[in-house]
Amino acid sequence: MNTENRNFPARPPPPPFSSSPFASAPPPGVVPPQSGGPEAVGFRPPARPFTPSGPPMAPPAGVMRPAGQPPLVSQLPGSRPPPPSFPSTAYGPPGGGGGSFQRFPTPPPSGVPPPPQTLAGHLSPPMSFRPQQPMASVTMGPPPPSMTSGIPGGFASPSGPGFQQSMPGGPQPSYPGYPSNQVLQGPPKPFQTPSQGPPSAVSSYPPQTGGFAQHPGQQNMHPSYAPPPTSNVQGLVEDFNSLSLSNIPGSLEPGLDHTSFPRPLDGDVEPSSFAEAYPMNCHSRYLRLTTNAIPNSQSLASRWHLPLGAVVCPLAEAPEGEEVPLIDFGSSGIIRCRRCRTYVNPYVTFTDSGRKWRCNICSMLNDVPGEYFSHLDATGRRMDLDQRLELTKGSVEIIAPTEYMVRPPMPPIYFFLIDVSFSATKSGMLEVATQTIKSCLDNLPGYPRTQIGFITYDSTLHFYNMKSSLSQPQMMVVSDLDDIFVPLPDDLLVNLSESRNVVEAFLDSLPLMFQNNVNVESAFGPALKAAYMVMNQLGGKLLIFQNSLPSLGVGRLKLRGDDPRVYGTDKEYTLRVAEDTFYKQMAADCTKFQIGINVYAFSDKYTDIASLGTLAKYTGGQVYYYPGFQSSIHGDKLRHELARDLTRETAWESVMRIRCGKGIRFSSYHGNFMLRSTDLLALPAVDCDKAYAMQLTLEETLLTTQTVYFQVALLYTASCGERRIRVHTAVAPVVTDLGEMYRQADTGSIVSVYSRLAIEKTLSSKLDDARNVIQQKIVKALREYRNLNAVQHRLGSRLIYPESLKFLPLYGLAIGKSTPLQGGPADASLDERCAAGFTMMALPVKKLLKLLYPSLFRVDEWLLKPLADLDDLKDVVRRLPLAAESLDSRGLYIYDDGFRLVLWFGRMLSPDIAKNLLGADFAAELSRVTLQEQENGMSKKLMRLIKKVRENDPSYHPMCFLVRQGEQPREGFLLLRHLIEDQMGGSTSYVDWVLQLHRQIQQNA
Amino acid sequence: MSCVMSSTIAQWSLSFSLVCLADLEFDYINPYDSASRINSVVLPEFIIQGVLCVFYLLTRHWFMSLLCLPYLFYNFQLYSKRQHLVDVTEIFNLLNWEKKKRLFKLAYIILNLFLTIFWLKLIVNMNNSMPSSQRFIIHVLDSTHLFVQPHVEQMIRSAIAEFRNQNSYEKPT
Repeated sequence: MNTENRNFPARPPPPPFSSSPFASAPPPGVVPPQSGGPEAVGFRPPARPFTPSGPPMAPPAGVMRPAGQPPLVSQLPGSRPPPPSFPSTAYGPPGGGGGSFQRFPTPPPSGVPPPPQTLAGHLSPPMSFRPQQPMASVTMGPPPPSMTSGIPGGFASPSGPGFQQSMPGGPQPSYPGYPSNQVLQGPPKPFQTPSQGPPSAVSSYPPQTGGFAQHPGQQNMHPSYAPPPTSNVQGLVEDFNSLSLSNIPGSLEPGLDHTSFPRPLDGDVEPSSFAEAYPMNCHSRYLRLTTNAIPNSQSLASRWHLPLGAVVCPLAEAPEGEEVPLIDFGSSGIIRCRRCRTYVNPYVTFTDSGRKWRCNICSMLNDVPGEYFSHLDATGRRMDLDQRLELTKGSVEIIAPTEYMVRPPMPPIYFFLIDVSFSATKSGMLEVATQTIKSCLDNLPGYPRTQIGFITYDSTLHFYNMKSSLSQPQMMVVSDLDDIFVPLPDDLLVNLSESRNVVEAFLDSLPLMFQNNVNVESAFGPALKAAYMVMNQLGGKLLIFQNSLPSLGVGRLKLRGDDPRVYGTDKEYTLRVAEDTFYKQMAADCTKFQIGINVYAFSDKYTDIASLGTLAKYTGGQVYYYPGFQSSIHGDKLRHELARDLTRETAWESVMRIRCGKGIRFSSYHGNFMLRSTDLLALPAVDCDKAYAMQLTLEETLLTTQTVYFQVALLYTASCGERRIRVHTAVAPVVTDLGEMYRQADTGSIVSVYSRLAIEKTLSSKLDDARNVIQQKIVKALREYRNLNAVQHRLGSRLIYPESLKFLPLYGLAIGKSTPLQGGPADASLDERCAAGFTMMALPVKKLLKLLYPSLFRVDEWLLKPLADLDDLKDVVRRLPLAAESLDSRGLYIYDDGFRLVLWFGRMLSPDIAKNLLGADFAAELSRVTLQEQENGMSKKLMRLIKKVRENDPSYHPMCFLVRQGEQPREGFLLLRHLIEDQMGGSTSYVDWVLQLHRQIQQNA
Repeated sequence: MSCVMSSTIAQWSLSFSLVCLADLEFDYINPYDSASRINSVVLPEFIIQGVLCVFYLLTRHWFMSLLCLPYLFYNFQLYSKRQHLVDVTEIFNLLNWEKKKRLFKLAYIILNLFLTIFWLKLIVNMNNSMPSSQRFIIHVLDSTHLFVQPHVEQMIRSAIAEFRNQNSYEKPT
């Protein structure tokens, strides 16, 4: 180690020692760097300033570390010999495995404080760093004998680092870590005996308050919160929330205060403590686990009734400044593990003075290629760490060499399959679509390689020759639908930059050409086949604009959705799956040839989205549905969404795989894609608006590791023609305690998995069954949680749930009331259901949560305020509970679910406002009025607000609907039915739902 | 003879598709090829099984045909629901179920085959158990027919009757 250090200045890229993060630290050997340093710095993103004093452990261990720890460490080093064995210990999170126990945000186990206490006491009594640190806890903590014998002994031993090592590696019982608490403490009952602390606090909540009682222990979540001595016992108690339902026998008597029920009015709240604890994990927008604590055994996993898995959105849009860095390994080739093919990531460790690295997923020892070699410094971290983003960032993008290509990277290809039958021209769809495509030509990604092509169809197919040498496109008509052939081998798919003029001429003339078309047939199947034949050389993105039920040739469909008698029977589900195997087969073939399909459907009549959507489902595409399209009403929406679809950054011919540590395996995947092998997702065209859910299973009965690593790798062709690999790496601790799993649960991710499971269930059984499945799952999970806590507390008639899952019941209700699952046949048309189902299968977590529990806010007061500006959208849009009670008939409200905006005008709303906003026809029936900007401040303000809301999330363009109170049935249809906390028709209200859950939880409890 | 042949073919087609599924699971083959290979043997298997059942009926092996009926019914149901072919898009989700289904079918057919050749085996065993001078089988035609010396007919019949008696249970009155 020392010799290396001497060579140090000769290192090829010589970042002077002084510039290294150690600079600010005292001279080595004196204080922290050697001890806290190696771990901390190894993990720290280079940007982070080094804080010489205080907690050098901070980054890896996070702020979550109980207050006692940092002082301990910072004091130790002085007495610690320089660590020769560091290379093996310098490794982070597992090394942090020590930390990983303590890191948990939740109640600092009483076991943890004592050791620092004792140590600090032995070492340097005067320097008691944290006065609030409970000295008293020594008596309350785990049996001191074992503690003192274990830890200080290890500490005092000459092999100083042994202390650090012994924490993760040492025998668990002696380690004060969290999981062993129970063992140390014996049965949990003793917790109850002290009269202070949560147990009494909980039970002392007067039932009539009815609120959901926030457990005091929860405040431990606060990183900086150091529990006062007496509250140490609290730390041992599960923190949970409860919802008092003491009035159950009397059902809905006033005692039940439903205003205090938890509601996600702040939107999706991610467990931030986890991200802080592992700063080198990829951001949660890319990968979100359903729980950030992996069970260590199958038996524990089977008690966790919630899904165990992840939601991955590999290309999620990053805010400016946080883009995923691009890395080129150059001649050394991409560094991957020889055995498990894991990409090099921040969690690998370098040993053997930098000549070898250990894979974090399979712990295989790999050679470091010569070009990649770098010396290790005294602490075992690479000297060039600052220049190696792949070793410091959880998300990187790697440029792939030719070994990762089976053919030259394809150019971006957009192929349009456009229905030009009577209804398409009449509704104005054709015009809007062609205009939009034309306006996007400049922004299509991948200039100058981008290729484009068109086929239109009614009862015949029309091909267009757009060779660059022509001045006008040539149209070729094929009317033989039984034996499709492509009339021209090439020039149907042309390079956009070369044939730009022809393409523009074509787009200008297309609406005119068919404006008098009276053909109502649709030869969709043959047209799809033709498009497939044109595209299968290269692949690409196929956009289908379909206006009516496919009626000719292969793939013709029947009007099967109109029969209400099928609903409620066992055959009901068949309406929601593709009728003709042609569609599945085509989808499978398209995926094989890298063709991704997006379906735009416009008809007001039944178009069998269930069948058409299959094409999008298995090719990683999306379904856009505009029922009863009218260009005057829906034009804007189509324009924005089509433009977004065409111009957003797209990853072509991609495959995705998620790797994880030994002993666990991803077993099922949910979303729009096709599986190419057991764990390889084929995604012909993927973009930032697509997310995929997956569930994992434990393969081994017992996991022996302290942590589990996940690595998502998406291999794709960027629009610029580069082959790239996007790699997201994350780590999660393995726990032995069910309560910890509940504490680390992530509601958003769980709900995302549930909604996908429910939608999949509707494809094989009745809607009722699908809803019940979700309800049962939630009941099981909460019952388990109740059992977990029932021993310690007298719970009475309370619904209890962990803080992390407080919104789960509400979201469960919302899933049951979402468009694909709600009610019976009358509640939503079959096409709407299916379209929403396909959409929800692909939505990222945040959008899904917004769709499930939309925001509702009042704007009239804000509009009236003269000086109010749009500065802070949050102030304006204070979300209200989704219940009819929230609506005041004197107000103006906006309901926003990310897909639609509904402006609700109260009956008593001052006419001035209405007049200002709607202009002259404010008194007319609002279904015929469209919102336009009027020449006054108020209207401008509202339009700005709406614009801002839309810009917040560009992936869909919410359409504006106006409705006045009492305007039936529009009001019910647009808004009231979506107030999910209310009882509508056969559905349950929030209160009833909670009571229902509670009853079921108590049965067989 | 034909029974054995058809059972063997059905057996072969089942094991073939099982191998395909296993290959798919271990990523030796892509789902497209796997599905098309499996699907190419599904209908032959169904038809042969049907033929086998009809054959039992025609040769008045009532018990054996009865044994075949549930299998035939199940196949028929799958076919009428158009679920007999594996679906390339969903093949991974159904992998375990498809494997299990085929394993059961395989077990069923092997049982069938075993029962078919059971009596023959009994007689052959009897033959083998005799001293070489008294062996009576002249020629084994196929799995269900054989030539024996005329004088042993009575003995074989009694042996079979005895075996049946041993294996049946009469309710004591």
